[in-house]
Amino acid sequence: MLSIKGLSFSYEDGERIFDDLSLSMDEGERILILSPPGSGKTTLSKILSGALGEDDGELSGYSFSIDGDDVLSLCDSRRSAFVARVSQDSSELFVFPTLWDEVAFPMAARKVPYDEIRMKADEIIGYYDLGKLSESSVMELSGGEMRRLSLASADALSSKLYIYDESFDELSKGYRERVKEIIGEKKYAIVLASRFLECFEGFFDKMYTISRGRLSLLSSVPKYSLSFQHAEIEEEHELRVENLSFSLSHESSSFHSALELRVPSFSLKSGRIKLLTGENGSGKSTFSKLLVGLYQESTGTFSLDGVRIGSKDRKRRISYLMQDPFPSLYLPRVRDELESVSSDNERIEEAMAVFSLKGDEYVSTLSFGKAKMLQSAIYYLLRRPFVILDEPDVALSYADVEKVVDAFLSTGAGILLITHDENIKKMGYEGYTISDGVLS
Amino acid sequence: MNIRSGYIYKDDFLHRLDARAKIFFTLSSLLFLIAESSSSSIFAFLSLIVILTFHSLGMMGINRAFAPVSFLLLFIFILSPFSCREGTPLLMLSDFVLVTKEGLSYSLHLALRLTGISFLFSLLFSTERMENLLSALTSFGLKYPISLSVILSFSFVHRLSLRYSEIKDAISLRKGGSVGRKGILDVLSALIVYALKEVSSTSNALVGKGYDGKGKVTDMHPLSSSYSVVIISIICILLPWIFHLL
Repeated sequence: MLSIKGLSFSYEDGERIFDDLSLSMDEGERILILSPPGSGKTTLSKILSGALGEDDGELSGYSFSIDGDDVLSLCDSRRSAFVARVSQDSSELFVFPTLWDEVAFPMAARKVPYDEIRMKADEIIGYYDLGKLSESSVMELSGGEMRRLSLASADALSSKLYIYDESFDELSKGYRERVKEIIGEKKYAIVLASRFLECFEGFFDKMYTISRGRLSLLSSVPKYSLSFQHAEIEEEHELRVENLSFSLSHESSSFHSALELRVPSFSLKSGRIKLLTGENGSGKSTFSKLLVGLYQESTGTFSLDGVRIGSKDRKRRISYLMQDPFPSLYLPRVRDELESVSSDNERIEEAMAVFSLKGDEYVSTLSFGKAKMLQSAIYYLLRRPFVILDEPDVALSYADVEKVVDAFLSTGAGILLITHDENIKKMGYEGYTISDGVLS
Repeated sequence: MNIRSGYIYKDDFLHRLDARAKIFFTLSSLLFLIAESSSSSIFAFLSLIVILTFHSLGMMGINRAFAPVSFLLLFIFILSPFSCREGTPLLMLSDFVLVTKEGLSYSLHLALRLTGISFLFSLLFSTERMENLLSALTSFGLKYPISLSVILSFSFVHRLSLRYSEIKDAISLRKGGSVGRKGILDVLSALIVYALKEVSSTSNALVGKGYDGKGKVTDMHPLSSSYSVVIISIICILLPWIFHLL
């Protein structure tokens, strides 16, 4: 039995996140905490895993036990035998240069014999289809591969409680099913999510939401019917790509050929949405980087309204909202970030209202989801004719995804939407898929 | 196009060389570069390192080793000759000596030394995996937490350089073009924020993986123990000093 009682927490700025929060779980139970970005899901996972403590805010004297053991009395490193956390930001949990070491180290830290580590690590890596990348540098992995690595590394801990913080959004359908199987085998599992993924229908024993600092039981999942509002287009533009080819190699392992991508033909028009789908590591983000000129194509042409354009022009006309919003944020507060791209106060206020942002919030304290909203607000103010949304659904609720897409549609932008979300795919938008290195 | 990583996979002599021998070679070479007073000996040794780099990693390896010091070399050649004005004048403005032969040879000596150090480290980290270097350090009797700190520090520097490119790309996209001079300040401030976060997240990640920060862990990359490693290590230690005798 797992029991958490009387958990109250406030950050140093005085914001109350939890107020006498309690939770109990029986062995084999799987629970979902479904709550919007910024409601405290990540904070809860960090407190329970020991990554956040009394030095980071005001944490009341709560109790936390698993199978009768007092988790709070354990030293931080022993705690990992009880609680494992899969963070929403995969990279924050990586320490070692290669994938194999990331998975093997939790066992090495427990002084498991070398031969056993070798066997177990290979088995876990194989389960997540990362075998051919096992000697690769972590920095060479795609977003989906990094996510699978963070799940594999957590599995190597063999903990009692597993906390999955927005851990499935970047995964394609097949891998979500595999993770479901893995979660089913855990002694205790808590899944934290901003939106309900259809593949988890009927999977959880209990569902909660965070309300007024406490967990309140959800009897059913609130259904959300997604729809995007298309605005009238003032100026129509068309972005075309013809006969594009590109290859990307890994340097660090014998598995050299990371990607061979061919794009016979691609087009995107103002005010329209086109989807881009494909398995993890198939090259969706790579294609986006080619479109905005961050990567240099081997062959192929890019044109806007029939006129060829180079990489400099593409950077000016295409907004690319990367999966990880943090590298593009560098100023202290939300308002500073917005003022750096627009001097029009009225528009800044409008952007903050549209994307539910507070101007005086510090960027470094934003949750992943809130940071994505800020990234969207910045590009919304830039008003470029084309936008690439690279998995905007990661760590966001459907209502937030709708806000982001509607905001860009209202500017008349053509949107290339990269997603693994089944509900978005079902909306009937035309699109492209990357399969076996070909975008079609 | 390649995705950059510190280690570059190849299957050649240098890559197969034992990590301990490489560490001995690097340390001995460093000492040689710092202690050697003859520029021609340093030049001869540097030529060997450049040839080894080219043989093992091609032009890409040479570019990567040279890039970090190229700006510094420029400054050395611009500034150093002016600061050493004693000796045979080479360039004069009226009666004022600008550049002397001794000043120029001092700059050359400094430049060769710096280039050598850059090539040495580049060669070590491009041909050997960090995890093998960690095992090598612990096999020397260095305590595991210290060895781990050394290796993580080098990995950290490498991660920062990759993150720098990532942030620069992200900011250039936001600005809709090249980052520019003012933009570099933005990139650096974002990098500092990232570096500070990375330090605490690395320590959290280690604890989260069950490491208590004190004891030894199971060696994940056990190195072979044979006499040939000892012999090769001795050769590696002596090799740079042959250039002193030459």
